[in-house]
Amino acid sequence: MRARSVSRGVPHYGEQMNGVGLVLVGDVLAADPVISALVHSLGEAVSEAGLPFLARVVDDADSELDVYHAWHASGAPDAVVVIPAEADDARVALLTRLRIPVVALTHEEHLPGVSAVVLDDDAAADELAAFLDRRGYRDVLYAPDGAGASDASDLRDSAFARLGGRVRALDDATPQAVARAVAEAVAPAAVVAADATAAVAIIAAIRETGRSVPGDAGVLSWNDSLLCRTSDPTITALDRRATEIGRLLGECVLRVTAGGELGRLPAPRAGVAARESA
Amino acid sequence: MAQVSVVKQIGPSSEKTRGAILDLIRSSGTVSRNELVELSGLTGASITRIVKALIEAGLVIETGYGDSTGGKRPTLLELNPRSRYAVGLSLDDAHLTYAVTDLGGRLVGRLVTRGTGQEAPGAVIERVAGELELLLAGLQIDRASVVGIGVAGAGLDIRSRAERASLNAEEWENFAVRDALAASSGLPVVRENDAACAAIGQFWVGRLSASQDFATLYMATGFGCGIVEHGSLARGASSNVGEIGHMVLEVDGPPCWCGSRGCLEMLAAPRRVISDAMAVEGLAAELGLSGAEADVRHDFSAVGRAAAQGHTACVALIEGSARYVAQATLSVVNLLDLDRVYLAGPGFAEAGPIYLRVIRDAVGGLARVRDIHRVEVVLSDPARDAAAVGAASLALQQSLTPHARVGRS
Repeated sequence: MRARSVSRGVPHYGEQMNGVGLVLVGDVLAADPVISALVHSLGEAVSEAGLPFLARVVDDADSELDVYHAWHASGAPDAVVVIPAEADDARVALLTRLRIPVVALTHEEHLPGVSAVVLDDDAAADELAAFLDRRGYRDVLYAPDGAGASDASDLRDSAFARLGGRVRALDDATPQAVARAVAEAVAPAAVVAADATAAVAIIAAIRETGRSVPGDAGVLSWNDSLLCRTSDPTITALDRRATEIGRLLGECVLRVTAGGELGRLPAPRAGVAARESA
Repeated sequence: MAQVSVVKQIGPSSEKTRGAILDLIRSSGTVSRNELVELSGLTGASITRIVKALIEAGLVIETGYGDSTGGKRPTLLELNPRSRYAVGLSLDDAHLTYAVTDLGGRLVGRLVTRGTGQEAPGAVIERVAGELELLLAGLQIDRASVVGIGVAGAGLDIRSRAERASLNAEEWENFAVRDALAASSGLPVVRENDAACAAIGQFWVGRLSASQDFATLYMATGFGCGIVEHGSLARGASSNVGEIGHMVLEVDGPPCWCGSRGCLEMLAAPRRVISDAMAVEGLAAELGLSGAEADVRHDFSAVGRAAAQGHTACVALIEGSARYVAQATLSVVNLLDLDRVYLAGPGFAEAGPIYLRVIRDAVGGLARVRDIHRVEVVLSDPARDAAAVGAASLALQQSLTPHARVGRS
């Protein structure tokens, strides 16, 4: 890693990748509002401190590892952010071997010693379970569909475990099939849709069967997004605090690039943003 | 849609023809040479020659065979998306955002760096040259495969000189962004205001039909309005359509730096919201507002965030601004008979939903055409970098379809 120039205001660039890097696999910036919001605020936090922030989109996981090798060969960035990082993450292992500082978004039990923002999925799951209880939903249907679903299966599994036997994942998650399942469910039922677009379609399908939302059935989105806040009705969603997590990752990166001690910061806890649909 | 205009515009120049055929291949997905003959109206011999040149340049690849219509099965052609790239750059007070797309318009990378702030234009352009190096190195893109740079920035375009006329950025006035950047980067540069870029970005990214006209209202430090008609950007006599920031909303209102009075910018821009916020007792201390010119955007974000969380005084400040923006939007809708308006830009990042509500109420309740058709007002996701992506689209468009060049004499 090249030492950065003393004055942050006057960075020197050459034929090398300095600044802070992030690699994304697939079209997640367009498809996933949670990742998109996180990357946006991370970039703002890093660039406001005078460091360039580069996000690169590649087609597959192998290409991601190739990028780290290429960055290393051409001078290496000041740090790389890995989101989300799992136990024994191959990317973190490679970056560590290449001596490129890493900041990860991960879970408490994973990657000890790696600078990270740490998610508490259990707490998030508790929030969701408590919300559904408070609203008195007896039957909870999960509609795992929609291109914008984030990979949050741990969180989802954990949330569903806390809801006991009341959660049913639907095999057919088309809006019409979900509306039929609502008609057969124990009222009042709640539907957890994969994202806002799916939630909008499901609300329309349920209303077409003569039932009301949220009166007869509540509809929630697994991801919060702009659409949740601006659709009619506005959609109750699991707020994963992506913007704040992005900023925190930025702080963590700046600490690491300034040569500060490694740290693990707890992510703000996800919660339910209660709106009109549930 | 676009194909009709392409065919009409195919001129005698071989460069233009080549660009038009490349655009036909792009918009068709996969296409055979015979289909290109039908779509373009050119002779089979011309198409064969042009396609050969495009394949040799690596821009187009043969991907397989189509169904036979009697004789030999036709070879299908498609764009080779990773053969060329375009860079879009959004010049903004708070951040510089670079978006790189491939020939097919797909985002392959984005770089965010410190904003222009109070930095001298020459210094910013010098920095941009370095950041381009960093960007291309980090994405492993050869400079020779970059077709050009699109630049989105606020302000007027005075022929070859880009003027960024605003209250506290006099140094940007008459500074030739396009020429300076073209000289320092060695790449073709096209410049457009950020609202127009955001509108083009919306058109490409949103896969909108070319038959649908719309406007994009852009708010950063000031306002702009990009208008798309029949799939292309409305330009006006000097490529300066959409100066909505200087729409007069109060004839006896506060004097504006542009020479007029009561302009939208004076009544509703972030700078006005912050000066009003500084007059609310205790608010600056509570939210940590500095009120300094250099911190306008930062302060405005703080007020917007507080408003989004229901802070009464901040909601009132944002609604005060939104009411003027709504009236301006209503006038645009009435003037152009639009059925769709997008709100885009960093100014809507925090309090966008409040602006959206106020604008929807005004337009829904008062548009002259409200009994004839709905007028949709949609908030663009600010994380999508509409201006930078749109600027890359412009650079791409210019190289793919030279007839559509954003030309100025």
